[in-house]
Amino acid sequence: MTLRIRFAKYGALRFIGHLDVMRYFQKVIRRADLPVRYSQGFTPHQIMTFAHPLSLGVSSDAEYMEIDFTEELDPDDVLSRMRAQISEGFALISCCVVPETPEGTRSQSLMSLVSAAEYMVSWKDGYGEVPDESALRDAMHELYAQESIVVEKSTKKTTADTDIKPFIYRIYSGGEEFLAPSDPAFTGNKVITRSFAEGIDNLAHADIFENGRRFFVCVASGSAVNIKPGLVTQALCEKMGIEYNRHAYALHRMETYKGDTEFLPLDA
Amino acid sequence: MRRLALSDEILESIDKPARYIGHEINAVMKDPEKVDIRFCMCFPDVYEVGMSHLGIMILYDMFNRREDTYCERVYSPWPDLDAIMREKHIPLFAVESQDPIKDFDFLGITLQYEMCYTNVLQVLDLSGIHLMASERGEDEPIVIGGGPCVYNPEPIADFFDIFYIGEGETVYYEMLDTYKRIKAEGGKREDFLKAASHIEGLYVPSLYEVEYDESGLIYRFEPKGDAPARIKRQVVSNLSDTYYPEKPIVPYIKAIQDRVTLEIQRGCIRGCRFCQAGMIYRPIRERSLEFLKQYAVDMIKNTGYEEINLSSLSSSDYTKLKELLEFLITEMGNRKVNISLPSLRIDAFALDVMGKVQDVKKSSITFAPEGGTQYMRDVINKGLTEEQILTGALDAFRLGWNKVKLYFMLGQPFERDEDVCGIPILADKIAREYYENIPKATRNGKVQITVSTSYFVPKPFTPFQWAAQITPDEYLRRKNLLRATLSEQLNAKSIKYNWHDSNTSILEGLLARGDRRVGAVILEAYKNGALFDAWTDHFDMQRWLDALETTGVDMDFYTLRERNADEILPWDFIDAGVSKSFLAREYDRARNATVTLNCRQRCSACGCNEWNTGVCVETRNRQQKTAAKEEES
Repeated sequence: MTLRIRFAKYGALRFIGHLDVMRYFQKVIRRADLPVRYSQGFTPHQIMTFAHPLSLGVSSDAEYMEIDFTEELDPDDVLSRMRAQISEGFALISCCVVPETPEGTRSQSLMSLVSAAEYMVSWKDGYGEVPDESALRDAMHELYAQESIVVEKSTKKTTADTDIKPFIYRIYSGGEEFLAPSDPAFTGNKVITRSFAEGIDNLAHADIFENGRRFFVCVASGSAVNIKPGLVTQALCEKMGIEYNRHAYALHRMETYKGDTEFLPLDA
Repeated sequence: MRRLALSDEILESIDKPARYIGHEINAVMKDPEKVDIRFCMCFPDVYEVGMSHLGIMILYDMFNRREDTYCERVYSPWPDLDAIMREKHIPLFAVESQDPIKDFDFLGITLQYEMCYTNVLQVLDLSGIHLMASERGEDEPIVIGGGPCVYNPEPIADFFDIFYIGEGETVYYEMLDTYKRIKAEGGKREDFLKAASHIEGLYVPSLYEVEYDESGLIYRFEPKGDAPARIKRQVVSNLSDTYYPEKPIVPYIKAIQDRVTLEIQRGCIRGCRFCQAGMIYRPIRERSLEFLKQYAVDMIKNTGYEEINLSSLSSSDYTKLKELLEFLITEMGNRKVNISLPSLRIDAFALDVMGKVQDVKKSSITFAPEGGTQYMRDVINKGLTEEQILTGALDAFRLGWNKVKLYFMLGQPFERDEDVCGIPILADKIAREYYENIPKATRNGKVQITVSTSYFVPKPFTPFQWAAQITPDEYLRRKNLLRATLSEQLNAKSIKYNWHDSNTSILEGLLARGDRRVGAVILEAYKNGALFDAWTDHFDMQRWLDALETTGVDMDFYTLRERNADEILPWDFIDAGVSKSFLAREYDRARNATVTLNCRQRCSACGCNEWNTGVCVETRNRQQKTAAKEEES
């Protein structure tokens, strides 16, 4: 059977890279002595996949992994056995059974399901001037009213100007109302059916800053198009005439979505 | 949430920030307010190297079993962080509590190789601890050195308050108790150091004086007050009844040794004359099969590692190896845990085991003949014959291996050009075994032989401690001779040759056999920017050459000079067990290419039987039994 587990990553462990997170969970499974399925071959490895790598330094309440087991297990039992082996900086949130695919069809990999991710971007304390709420809202309106939002997007090899507007699915500010962004001006052309999984606090493991300034953005993610929230922040800074310093913002992944035109959280 | 010593901004700007955040699986978290003694263990190299070291894991576990002590860890910050810490005046901190090292009672530094000495100064410097022990005040930690390099601690004597000579399991508790007592009595740093000097195995360098004659030789080495004249190496007598970590720390990032380490025995019976480890860890002592089985299973359970590594100097000499491996192959196989087996002598048994635990097509077999001819192997007392090598290789080829690694040293005493040429000739013979005996149809491609040579560095407490190191030019000449001879071999295309850099080895020679005057060179080299000298990319010989020039220290005096038999050597004050007369006897036998039998075959009266443990007891009992039988008949 395959289980899909949602977990949070926060605090000091934000500085553990993606490959190391994978290695970490392999050891968690071994310490928990769970009947994980191994690949064939001389050096067997656990059948375990992750949805979407998280950049170093970013916290998250919406990380997902899938693990194959050789036996039928109770998801709650798996959670409690794994929780006994988890260190501060990781938290296991939920666990569900992935339905079997019909005989003869291939299941879609967790990674290829990912289409978007939602982030909270917070101003850190101690990094100069923090814009006031209205200035931020105005800048967001202005930015989103543009025909295009062109930023310099660099990969490992190249740097190119890219229009990221089609890939910003919504952007909104505000304090507590983030669960239901009401202003349609901020919403792009995607239907976000259920914003957040029920009963989950999407900010439970985010760092909180005294100045309280923050905004929320949902961007295209995954193997096809991947927009980092930092790019949106950079564009917003330019609008407000603030110099962009990548260290001045704390990023927190709130949700990871699947779906093409309609988005659903990965654990929905 | 835990507080980190480094800001997010710094952690986001440096390579592998996980090196500095601590809180790994099985790391010990205590409340520093609730202990009497704070001890920080340091491996003066980057985290991934330091986390691979078993010795620190053993001591970390041992210290933390005491309720009154909290032992934490620190490693060398990589140059990227080093620069930031200097610029922003961030004091070096322990990874567990993230507290500054300067607030600790002790800083224990393990010295595993000489090329880490500038990193020792870096750790002290970044911690805000005076580099010179003589300048340290009451509020600074006591700096202790341990590990194999302390068998000649003199080049770094100025930087340490105490050296612990020998195995850590024995007198550390006594030292901590003494510290607590003296602190409670209101004693000063000086009072503690004096008291420590009376604990067997502890060397307090500031309590000793050295004088030199006009030719630069030591003519007097004496304690200033009532400190003991000789320091006795510490030895654990029963390795099955001592500290060993059931729950080793598992780092978040991949360490060099990314696996559980099971030390099956300590010491070596072989007596190779170049090998310091083979001398300073005598006598060989095995851990019991029961102990090893238990720890193997527990450590795998507690860490979740997918590999276990058997560690020892010569695993094939472990008398119950077959039983141990049978157990591990079944037990670890069930758990999908790999077994890694370094240092197995290649024979039918080894190949059988290796075939079970490795992928034959991908792995290689390794020989360390160290010398290219039988004469040379007799000189160094390496009990490995050409026939053993060729038979072992052919057996391996028949079982499907086609990669062979060969390790040699150039520049050992009494080496002749024909011994150098013997290296590629031996490699070629191995290749011939392959092409002549393995039918084309069953071959798995070409045979791939890799020959590596290192530049021999004479070490203290070995029979070659008196010998001259060859010059870098001579090393290069021998290397070129080897290369030229290799190109003439029939199977030259199947043989790859790698050689070591000559600069680091000659410096290692200086640091290994230097005296107290060499400390000035290390300090100066550090000031010139030398750091991470063990890393080829970071090593810069010029910093050291400049330091030698500034300090006026003559490197050749320490490296190229053959010592006289009656000379006072800087490390003579250490009683390492192996006696000077035994080492001298062995040097003579090397000169005559005479082989000395190993400890199991016959006791060579090296001096270590006074500990009354391990192979010394086995051999004595056997010899007594034989004598009794002879008497009976």
